[in-house]
Amino acid sequence: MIPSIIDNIRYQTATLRKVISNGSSWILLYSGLLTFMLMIYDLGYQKPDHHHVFLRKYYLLFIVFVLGVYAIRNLINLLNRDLEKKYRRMDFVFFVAFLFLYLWLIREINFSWVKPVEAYYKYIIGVFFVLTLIYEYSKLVIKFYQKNINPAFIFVFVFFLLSISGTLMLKLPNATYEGISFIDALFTAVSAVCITGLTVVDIGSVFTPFGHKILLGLMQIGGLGVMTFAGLIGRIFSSGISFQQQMMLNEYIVGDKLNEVSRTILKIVFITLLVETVGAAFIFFSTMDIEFATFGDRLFFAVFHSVSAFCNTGFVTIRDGMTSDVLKFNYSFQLTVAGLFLFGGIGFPIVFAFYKNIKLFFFNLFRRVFSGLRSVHFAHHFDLSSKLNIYTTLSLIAFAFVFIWFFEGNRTLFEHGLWGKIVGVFFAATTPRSAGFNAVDMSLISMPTVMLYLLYMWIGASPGGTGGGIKTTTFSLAVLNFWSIASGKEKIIIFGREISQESIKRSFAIISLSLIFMGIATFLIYSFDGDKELIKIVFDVFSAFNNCGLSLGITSELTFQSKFLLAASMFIGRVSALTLFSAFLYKKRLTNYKYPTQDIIY
Amino acid sequence: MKISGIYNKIWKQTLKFRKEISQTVSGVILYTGIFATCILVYDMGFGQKGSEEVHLHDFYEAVKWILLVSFSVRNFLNVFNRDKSISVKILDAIILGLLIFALRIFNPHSSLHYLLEYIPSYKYLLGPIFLLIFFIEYSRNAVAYYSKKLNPALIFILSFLFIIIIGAFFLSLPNATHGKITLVDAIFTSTSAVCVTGLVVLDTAKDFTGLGQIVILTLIQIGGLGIMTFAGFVGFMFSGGGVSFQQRMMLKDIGNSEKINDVINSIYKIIFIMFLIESIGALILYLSTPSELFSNWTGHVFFSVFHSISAFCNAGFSTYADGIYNVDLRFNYTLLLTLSGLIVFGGIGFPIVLNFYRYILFQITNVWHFLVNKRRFEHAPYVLNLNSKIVLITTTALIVIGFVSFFIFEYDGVLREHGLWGKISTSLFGSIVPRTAGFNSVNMSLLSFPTVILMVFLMWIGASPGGTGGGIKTTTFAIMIMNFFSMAKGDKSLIIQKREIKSIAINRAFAIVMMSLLLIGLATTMILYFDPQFYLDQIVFEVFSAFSTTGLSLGVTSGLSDGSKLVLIFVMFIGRVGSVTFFSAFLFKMYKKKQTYPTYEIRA
Repeated sequence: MIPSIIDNIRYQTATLRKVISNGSSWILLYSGLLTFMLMIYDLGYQKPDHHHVFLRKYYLLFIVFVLGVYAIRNLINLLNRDLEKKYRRMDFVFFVAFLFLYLWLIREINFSWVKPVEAYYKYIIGVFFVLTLIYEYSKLVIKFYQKNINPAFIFVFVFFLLSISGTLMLKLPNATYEGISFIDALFTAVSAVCITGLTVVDIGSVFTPFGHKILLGLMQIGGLGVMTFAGLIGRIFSSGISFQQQMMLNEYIVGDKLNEVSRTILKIVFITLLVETVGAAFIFFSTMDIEFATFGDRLFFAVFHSVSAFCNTGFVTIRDGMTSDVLKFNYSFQLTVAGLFLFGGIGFPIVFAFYKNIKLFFFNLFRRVFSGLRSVHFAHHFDLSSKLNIYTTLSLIAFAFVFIWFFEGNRTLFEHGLWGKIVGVFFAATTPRSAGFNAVDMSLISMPTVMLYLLYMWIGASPGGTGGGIKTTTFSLAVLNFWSIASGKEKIIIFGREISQESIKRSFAIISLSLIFMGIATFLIYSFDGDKELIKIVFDVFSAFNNCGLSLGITSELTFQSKFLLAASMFIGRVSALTLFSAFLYKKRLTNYKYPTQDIIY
Repeated sequence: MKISGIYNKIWKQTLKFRKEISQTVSGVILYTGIFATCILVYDMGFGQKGSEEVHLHDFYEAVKWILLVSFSVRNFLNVFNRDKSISVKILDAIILGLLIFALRIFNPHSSLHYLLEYIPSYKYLLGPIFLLIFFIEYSRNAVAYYSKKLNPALIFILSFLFIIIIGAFFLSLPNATHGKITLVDAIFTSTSAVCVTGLVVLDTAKDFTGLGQIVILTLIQIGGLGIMTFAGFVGFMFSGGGVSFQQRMMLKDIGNSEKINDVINSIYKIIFIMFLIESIGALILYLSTPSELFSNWTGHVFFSVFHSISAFCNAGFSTYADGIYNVDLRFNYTLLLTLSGLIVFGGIGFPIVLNFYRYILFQITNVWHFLVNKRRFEHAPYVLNLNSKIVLITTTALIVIGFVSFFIFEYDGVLREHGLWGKISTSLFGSIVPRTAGFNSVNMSLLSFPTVILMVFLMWIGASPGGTGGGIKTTTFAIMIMNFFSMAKGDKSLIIQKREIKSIAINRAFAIVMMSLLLIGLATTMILYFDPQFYLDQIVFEVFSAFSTTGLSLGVTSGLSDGSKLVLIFVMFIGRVGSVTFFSAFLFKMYKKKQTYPTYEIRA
């Protein structure tokens, strides 16, 4: 009798905990959204003084409220251990973080190193709020995942929402000095979210520092979104079973797959931020000779370009970018940027392997120096995709290096010395896939280079990275497939593995769709802007669809319709045409029957 | 028992004897054919009127008699030979008939002698006969010899190369052109003719003499035939997978000696139907053009034959000044429609044409039986396989889309000068020629940009497998489209009309599409490099046209530098033999691996 009562109580508390946990999530989500909007108002508009006072009070109040919620949650977590460890830990981390924020805001904490960022306190609060929002949102969204929603659809929808909200944010009065037309705002926002880098206005002079911060945020979210979401979607499609089924299966087999998924996402976020920080530091020190108004500007310059490079966007806040007088001969800056976009583009698995190796190196160093122990070696294993990826990337870079050295060495790069030429050619050889920083004056490059750029933009970066295009693996599969067909082989065999038919078919679909979409876009844009040269339009379309960002200089002169079409191309290119189609067509059908096979003659 | 043994022995000996005779006869015909062709070339290419004339006339007389005797013997043997297929026999008989006909014409006492007046020179009659004999004998022997030794793709490529070189040589003969012709231009024209492209660097009507035009015509005919026959077999080999052509042949040799005959049999069937359609086409063209346009009857006939062949082979050469765009022709809608019909028939692929031919034949017999024997109509078992279905659906869709788009885009453009019926016919013609015939009945430089893009698209897709057209082929395009729909839907396998498409077929389509694009991109880059004065659209159009062996041009071909011309020659050649075939000529090995590897997914 008594045990049953205890059970009952336990059951009741568990229900209560669930209700509180869910309820608090929803409350935080909505109040967070409200705060977020207020914050946009705060940053985006000019306003009277009493609003400032009110907003500051409101922020403090809200932080106290959030603190309260997290305190209650942590209390429950302490008593009830049903919730996964990860969530409990996260709740605790958030509690501590907000406590810190609160103390700092009411001047209880006054470290000297916090001083320089004092002026940016609104942004810091903003970041905290956004993180909370994301955390609560993802907690809730995982529940949606367990229902049968087409993940491709979610992906497309999220990017669409991001683009729209980015547009609205760029339309804020404080984001630009002299206002911006709707289509230009849309274009820039899509360009940032889709981490393309095509511009219709000069990023440096049209947008205010606040506008730059919006762009930075959009790029970062876009880049992370692509790295996390796209990879997951690829996994879902490649495994053949639906996400939901996979989840259910894994719940039985592995126990907690979702946990693994979110751990991967966290890992990606962590490494992205790490690489970007290191990159920002490098850029910071390599641009010492550029004049900046404040230290904060200098820091922001470094962060902005680090993120822009790692996410393969290609936004530059200095007019003319790499060809401007201040950056033209700054080779260490160029190399840093090139290194960052290569890292961003090569795909997360390889970056992660690289990170692990570096960590191991320091670990071993530490062991040797302090403990005198021998080095430890771990078996690090690249999967086939990564191997293929590395080989393709390296050969593409090598080929482009020679090609551009030959065609541009004495043309657009004539004013550089040998070292400058090497850096310049290397930069020019890597940037079309699909970083989009222009290494040389694009209006002067030779025709063969333009054609090479078209090809390279189309190939793009590697899967699991921030770059666009059809991806290196797709391209190499296309070439390998051709090779084995011409050799009369039945299958593609590489590194002792047979490539699955599914992969080949997917590559084929990706390639044909990309061509069809680019063809249609070129066709339409040329009919709206018939006065431009065809090659320039083709170049812009390739650049947009493959999220590169290079241009032969006509983007800002295009008509309204063409700009819209380019923005649409960027979007479709980003979510990938195949995903877009899947978002509307994907249907899981159980086919337990087979039709007779049939060959086709060509 | 014993008697039958002796009888068998005698029979065997007879067979052996017959075989020896027929081999000797074949040898005589082949070498005489080669020799006579060479002499004829010399005669027509360099010959002046003079004393040689008499000797050569005697020589031709001798050759005629030798060939006549050989073919009589062969036909005689054919009667008793049951192993040979009926079409081989018919072809031999036709050649014999032609020889007798030629003999009759040259005999001053014959009633046919007056026909000679219609021909500029008797050589124009002898030449084709010699060439035909040479070609048939050569290919008969070549197939027998080389198919067992060489990679079939290589044979295919080498024979094309061989014909192109011969053609270039013919075209550089002094008598072939009015002015001088450079080597590159000769090779270009020859390649364009053999690859049934139709791109021209010289004006076919003005710069080439009658001889030159005949050479071009012959090259087109050989090229068209070669593609319809050989390409089919190479494709057949690839689609078989694993087993090589050679192995296949050997297998058949062991299993069934009739099989090689089967192959030859269907070659002859193709040749026969081709000639039949071309003759009908030539007849309609002849009737649809007023004779006032031509200086004499020969010119009129030559015009009809030339355009019929050029259209059926999807070449697009024209001997008329300005081609079909000439004011005399572009309002002749019957002519346009006839040409369209020929182009479609040539491009749609032999299997469907054969199907169609059988169907017509069946209906004719039906009518005959109905009228004569009062028998009831029977219904033909009209079975199309999946390939043919795909071809038919895609072709129809493309023609309709092309027609409607052309009509809309050009209604106030180049179609302005035509009436409604004319607009319809011209639009139809305009939607059919890019796949991949290459006649133009409109001023290409006045086309609107959407039409140009449409044409590039249609050229790229091209005609159907087993036909004379080029491009990546309708089936490839259809598979490409179906594939991404099936991928987006998340299907495990590609299913069309309740048939699962073999994965190797999809891979092949992928390879074809990919290679076509890489090649076109590479060629465009190179031409832009050699000739930076032209616009991208002009050059892209040119390269697509060359790759798909269409022959339409925005008018830059003759202005290109030699480097660009060589690039185009190369592109035409690869486009013709097929990029996969081309590369497999060097890569193809008889892979028949037993082991399998673990399969692996690639992220993309």
